[in-house]
Amino acid sequence: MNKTAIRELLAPILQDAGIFYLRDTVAESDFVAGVWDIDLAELEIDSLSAMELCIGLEAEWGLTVLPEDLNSLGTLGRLVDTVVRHCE
Amino acid sequence: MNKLYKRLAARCQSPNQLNKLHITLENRMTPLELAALRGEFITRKGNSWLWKKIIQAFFRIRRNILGKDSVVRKYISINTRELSKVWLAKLHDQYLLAAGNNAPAPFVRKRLGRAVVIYEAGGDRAGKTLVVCFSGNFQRMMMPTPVFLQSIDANNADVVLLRTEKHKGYRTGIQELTSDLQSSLAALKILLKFDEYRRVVTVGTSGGAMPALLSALYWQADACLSVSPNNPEDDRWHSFADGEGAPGLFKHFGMGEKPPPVHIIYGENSIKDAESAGVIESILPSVRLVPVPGAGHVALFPLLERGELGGVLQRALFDAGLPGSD
Repeated sequence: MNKTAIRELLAPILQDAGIFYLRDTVAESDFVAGVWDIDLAELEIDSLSAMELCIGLEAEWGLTVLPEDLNSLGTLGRLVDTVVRHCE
Repeated sequence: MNKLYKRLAARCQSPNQLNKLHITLENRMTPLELAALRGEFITRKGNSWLWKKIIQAFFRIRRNILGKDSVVRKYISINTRELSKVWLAKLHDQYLLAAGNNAPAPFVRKRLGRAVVIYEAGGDRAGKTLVVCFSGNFQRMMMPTPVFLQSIDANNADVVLLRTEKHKGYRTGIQELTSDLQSSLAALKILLKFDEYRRVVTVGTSGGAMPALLSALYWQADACLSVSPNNPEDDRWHSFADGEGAPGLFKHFGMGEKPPPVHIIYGENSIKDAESAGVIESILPSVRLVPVPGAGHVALFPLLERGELGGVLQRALFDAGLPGSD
């Protein structure tokens, strides 16, 4: 699975998790195109959203990240890289 | 509930799966069910010094085993029982008790449809208030359902919790009722037997906040509490606005000369929510704004943490509109 496909799937997972930053700032298309990135910490993800995002990652790709470890991944782009490595 | 929880928890193979189960339960459980579950899992006092130390040690050991950098694992073995205890101790001892009253509120859950659940404690409805809640994100009222219920007097109110499917919102009606909002509201009035209650009030959070306000206008409810509503000028509401923007939207849902008292709670840190609240206040004469200092979009939960939630609900839902209220 290539990065663009992962980004396309990740965008609605973020929304399902109640993380609306991409949608609200019209950054979603730039993110999917791979020309925009953001620190996960800047998304201001609350604890419930972090849980939902991790559940979404695990359900979609079988990737287990714990909510408390999410921010240590760095940026949204690095999260995509992590998914790519996991799927290889 | 206890047996079901044990069976489902035993099947969870990762902390995330267990978290999913916990979120699902948090959205549905009554305070009594939560207290019973806690009673079975936690025999020692949950907030004791020793218990906290044990929990901290468990997480420290787990993190050391996994390693700081190894945040991604294909499989993480979990001690379900310990994680369940942590969850229950936090939910019950930290949040439920913070909502007031040591005894769990005696609500009993009754499902009226896929998207409609009523929590009631019996008694004569003629003396009670029906609180119709439009849930927002994650199908909850910005906090676990038993905690929200604990903030309401079960002897004086029945609580209805409405849900929507993901991404659909309430604009396309309520699942299993009708496919548009107004006819769903008309159907709810019959289903919930409004006529049997002394008062009917509405509450909504986030995506449910504007529907709560519109339904209060439509039903001519006795009061409304709208938490972090979206902007009535948003595109999403255009189809209801009859080309007149926000005033058209409110007229469409029956805003008369004397609309019900509406309290709008929003976090001071959310510029977007503050703007939306201002727009609504400029159109609806009966609006009272309640900014929450230090809060963002999830503005209701900080009130719980500060011990103010019960008082705010009392003023906005049970006292509002009555003689002597401000």
